[in-house]
Amino acid sequence: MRRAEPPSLATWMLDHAVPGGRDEGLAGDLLEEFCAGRSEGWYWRQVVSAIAIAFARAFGNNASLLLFSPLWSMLAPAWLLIVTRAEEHAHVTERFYRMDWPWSMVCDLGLLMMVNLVFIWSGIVVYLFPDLMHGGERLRPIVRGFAASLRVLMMVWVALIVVPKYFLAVEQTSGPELGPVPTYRMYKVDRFSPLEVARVAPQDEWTARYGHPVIVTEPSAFSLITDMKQATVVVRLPFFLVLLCALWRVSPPVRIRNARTPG
Amino acid sequence: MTERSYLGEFELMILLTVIHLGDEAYGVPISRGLEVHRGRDVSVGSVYAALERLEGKGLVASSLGDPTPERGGKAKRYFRVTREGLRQVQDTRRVLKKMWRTLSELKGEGT
Repeated sequence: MRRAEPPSLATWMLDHAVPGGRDEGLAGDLLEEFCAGRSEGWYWRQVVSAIAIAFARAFGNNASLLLFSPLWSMLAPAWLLIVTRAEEHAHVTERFYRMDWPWSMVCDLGLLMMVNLVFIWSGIVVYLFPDLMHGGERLRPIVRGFAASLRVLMMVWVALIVVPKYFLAVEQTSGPELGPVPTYRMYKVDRFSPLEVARVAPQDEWTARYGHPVIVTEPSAFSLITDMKQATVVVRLPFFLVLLCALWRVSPPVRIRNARTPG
Repeated sequence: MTERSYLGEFELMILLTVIHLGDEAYGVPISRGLEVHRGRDVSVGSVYAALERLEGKGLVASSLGDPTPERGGKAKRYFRVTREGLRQVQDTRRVLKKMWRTLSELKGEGT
């Protein structure tokens, strides 16, 4: 028997998954057609098609951010390497570990978040720079982008925490991590790039950890920018995702909304 | 001399349907009209996308009607063709007519 109401999930998707927000006229038209006897299958097809078309138009209108986000994310591993090297000299996290709980954890997480945000926020500023130079809105888009990136970054962190397999894989492959990666893990991975420089790690540390001295390779920041190995690509993904969402928020899809109510 | 852009097939069909419907041109009758004339299903989303594109070009204008309970309290979005839109329809018609005249072997087919 045919239901009197259209599929609620499809209606919810129409309300929430269309870039630029719901189009009241379209939503009303689909409901009117459904009430006039169209099938649930027809309703679903229309909703999926409307969302796909809206996304295609939005991407077409924002091609620059689709180009910029992956390009900026390419720099993320190099940024993390620079931070890691700075931390080797500064030993900031060691100071945090000497604090009482929960301050040690709060400060550690705060530093990690700051490291991520500095990179992402720099990307937002660089992306908006041409607009700023041409006398566009100055402060509001930047603040909007910063706020959006913070929200998405929190969501990415929560997603990584609730997917324990990700962390298991990280431990096994000495691969990706969202933050300053401990030196012994960062340096152990890459042996195949000609740009990397071999170095001997501090022997005491390695001997204590592995029972024998280990020769490791040290990637250069430049080699990490161009490195397309799986582990490095995975490091870039969260940055890409956060940056894409934040820039999407800053430059919302162009939609014509000049319809006026009569009178 | 200003550069002219001619209407695409789907855009032209939509404009003709909107002109035909007059004051009753909103999503549902426009889509149904297109379905009848094309003889196949039409995605309402693609109709809206084309209408928004036409609105961006200044060829149609839209206004929201009053919300109605049979549409779940959602308003109808009415469309009307602007003077510029009408002019472009006539231009496209003139060009197409001229081109059809040159294809004498197709004359009378399907008419």
